[in-house]
Amino acid sequence: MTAYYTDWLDNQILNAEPAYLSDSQPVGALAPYSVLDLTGEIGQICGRTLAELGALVVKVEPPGGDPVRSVGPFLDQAGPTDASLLWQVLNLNKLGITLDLDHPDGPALLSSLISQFDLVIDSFQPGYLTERGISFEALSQVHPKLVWLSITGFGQEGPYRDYVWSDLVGLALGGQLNLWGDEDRPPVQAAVAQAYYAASQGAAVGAVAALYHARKTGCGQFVDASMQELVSFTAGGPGGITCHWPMLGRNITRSGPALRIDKIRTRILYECRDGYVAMASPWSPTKMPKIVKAMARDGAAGFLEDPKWAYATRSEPIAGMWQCTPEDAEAVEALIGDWVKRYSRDELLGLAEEFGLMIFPVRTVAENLQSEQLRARNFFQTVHVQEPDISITVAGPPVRLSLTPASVRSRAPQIGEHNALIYGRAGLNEANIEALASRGVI
Amino acid sequence: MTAVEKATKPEGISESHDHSPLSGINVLDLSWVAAGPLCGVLLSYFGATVVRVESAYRLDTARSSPPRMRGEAGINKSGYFGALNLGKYSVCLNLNNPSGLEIAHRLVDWADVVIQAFRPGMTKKWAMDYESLRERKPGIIVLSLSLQGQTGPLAGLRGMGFQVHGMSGMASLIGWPDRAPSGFTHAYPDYVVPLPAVTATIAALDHRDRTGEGQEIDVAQMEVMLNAAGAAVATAAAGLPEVSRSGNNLLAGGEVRAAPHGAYPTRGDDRWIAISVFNDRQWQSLCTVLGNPVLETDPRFQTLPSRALSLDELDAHLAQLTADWDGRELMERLQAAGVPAGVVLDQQGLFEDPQLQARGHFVPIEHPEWGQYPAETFGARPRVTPPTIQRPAPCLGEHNELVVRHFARLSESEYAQAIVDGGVEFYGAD
Repeated sequence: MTAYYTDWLDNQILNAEPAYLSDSQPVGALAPYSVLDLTGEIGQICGRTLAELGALVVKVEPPGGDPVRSVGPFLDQAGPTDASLLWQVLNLNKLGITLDLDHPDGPALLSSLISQFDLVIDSFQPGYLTERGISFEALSQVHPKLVWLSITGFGQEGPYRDYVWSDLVGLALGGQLNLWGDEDRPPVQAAVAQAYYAASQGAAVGAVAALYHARKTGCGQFVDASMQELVSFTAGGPGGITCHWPMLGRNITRSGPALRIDKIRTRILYECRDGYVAMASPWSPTKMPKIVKAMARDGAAGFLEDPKWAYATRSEPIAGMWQCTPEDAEAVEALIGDWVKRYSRDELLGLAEEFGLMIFPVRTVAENLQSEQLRARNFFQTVHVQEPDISITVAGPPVRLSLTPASVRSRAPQIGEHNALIYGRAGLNEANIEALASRGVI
Repeated sequence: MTAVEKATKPEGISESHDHSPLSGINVLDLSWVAAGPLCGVLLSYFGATVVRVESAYRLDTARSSPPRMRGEAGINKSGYFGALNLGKYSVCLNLNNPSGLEIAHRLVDWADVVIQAFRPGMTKKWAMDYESLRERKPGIIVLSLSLQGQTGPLAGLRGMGFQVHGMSGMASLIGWPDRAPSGFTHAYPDYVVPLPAVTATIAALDHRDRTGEGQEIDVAQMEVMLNAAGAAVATAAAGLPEVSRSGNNLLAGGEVRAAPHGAYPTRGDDRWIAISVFNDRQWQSLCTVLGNPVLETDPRFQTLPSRALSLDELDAHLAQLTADWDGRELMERLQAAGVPAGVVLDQQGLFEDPQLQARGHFVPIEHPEWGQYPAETFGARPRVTPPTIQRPAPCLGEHNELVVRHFARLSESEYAQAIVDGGVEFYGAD
């Protein structure tokens, strides 16, 4: 059944201009799998990731369209419900159907579709689906290999089971918000939803693990993904930051442009002539002499020319090193900072290469559009969005597979674009589908 | 696993559930510090057997990174290393020694997946580049992590997580519009990159099982972070005003999506609560909970569009009101009224959080040098085959004999010879 859809996709190509592909359409690693995607904003990247890896992903929306379609910015020239760049980016490669789960006949219709799919993903509040008579237990009786992934703020059970979430709340309760910002201001988010990214990408790991297991054993299962827990992973792995508490009884909190471990602050961000650079800690016998050499060439090394500074450390000294005071460190960082200010980011990148320094420019996302490296790798993909020639440029998949490439094949679906196809496969004819539509079920 | 293998399994090998998704999958982890090793942790959570190859002379810098258990010195005391290597075995090999390299190659024979993060071009001398590995074992899957990718003019550039954070543009998205970026407290990319990398790895294993074909997975940290930047790439490419750091305002194409939306002070030192109000019903609920008539009746704040015009005043008013509240209590009251709200948790807060406790997020394990310790499991939970912590992070070279004899299949005398030849290393041995 899935082969039918993928053949269909290959034939249609859905208006995409796959500039990155050579001749043939490569088959993705997840090509045998089909996915029904019922998620909201928290979970839509999960489906996109699986679709990039080759799965057939069908996005389900209410008849009026998914709320993400109303989130700007908007591509002026595109149709009103397809113009949201966020909607496009989160839902590339997916097919689209409509279904109203709040309509009395909606849940039964959903259940009738499920046998066509290997994986269902949702992000409803716990209880929403069971209240509508949709139970994984019942569905898996007739579809034993079914994997159902539920992505929620906090998981299916527990004291926060009924909590409502947002990306900001996910960052807060996941321990990430605490780590970002300046010390004299509130903790701060990123301008792009990172808790949702963690939730979606973390959930995808669980989904493919469960699908892998189902293929080998014939047994599907329910996967319960919690944004809170997955954010805690992106805030330091399984305890890389969190373990400061059980091990030392202390907390790491936001520290602006510096890395702060306990009382030691090591500056990372330096202002330069045209912006900022990030510099690795120079405090080591391999690193300090290199930056001193670069500064000395400009006569800017000052007291750092004393070779003792190669053996200075901020933390407890081990053999051969000596610990410098916080005042010393500030003076060193100020001296380095003055030198860095003379140069632009590109000049500093050149100096970094010349002297073996660990200095990297801080760029904006937009500046990366010009990156020689990213362009050489065809990282940016052009996706045709609407006739005649309305296109967008998106960041490509986050991974490259040599044999079964991940790929962006098509734009996000239009509302109900594939109702005929998908409901047709479920045995409904055109008249049935029209009737459902006129009653508002789809 | 065959009956013979099971019967001859030596002491010290702990089992994942036999029915874990990746039970029977072997992973050779040649990477170090953060992003690569975390990929190994994720695979271990789902049942793979993961071997970390280390050097006894050139220690992984993570081993000397704080925090160290009780502040004690020692190469096995780092909680940072511990988090990045949960669930793995450790073997010390000298890859620049023919005997050590031979063992590494035999471990490739044992492995289904190799994780490596060497600079592109560095592995050829060891015949550990993808082409050589594929020749040796056609179905091998190699997960290659790097800053900028295996190809392209800048492929050889070195870098660390927080440098990718800056270069990719992600760091520029964090902070306040009137100030420098302010999100460098930790190397955020190191903890994001492993997620799509491992999803692709499991997909590649699936493909291999069906076709016998392995492949290389090329993960560039830069590319993951740009993928994580959501619609920012598309926005800039479309010539629209760029997405840029905006404090805690939730903006979409210049429009305010939620107001109030931010982190507000609560009682105590440096205590905050995140509150996000997306519609007027939530706003009314917020006002009811806070019980402040001025807030409720101020005409500037009645609707989302009008609140959007007075964000600074709104935030200032709200901050004055929330400051009197205990953060947890306010969160509970707001959530009960259907308002998205969450206490900003620090590490102690995470440990004490009732939901994380209910989820079993912290799992007590026994570490040889730390004693009993709360490790952390993974937040995507298949119910039948949940993530497991197979073992604590390894001590350096803790499993030399086990790995070399039973995975690389050297005989007892071959193993002894490998030690004499310097292929297998022991820390502190002269």
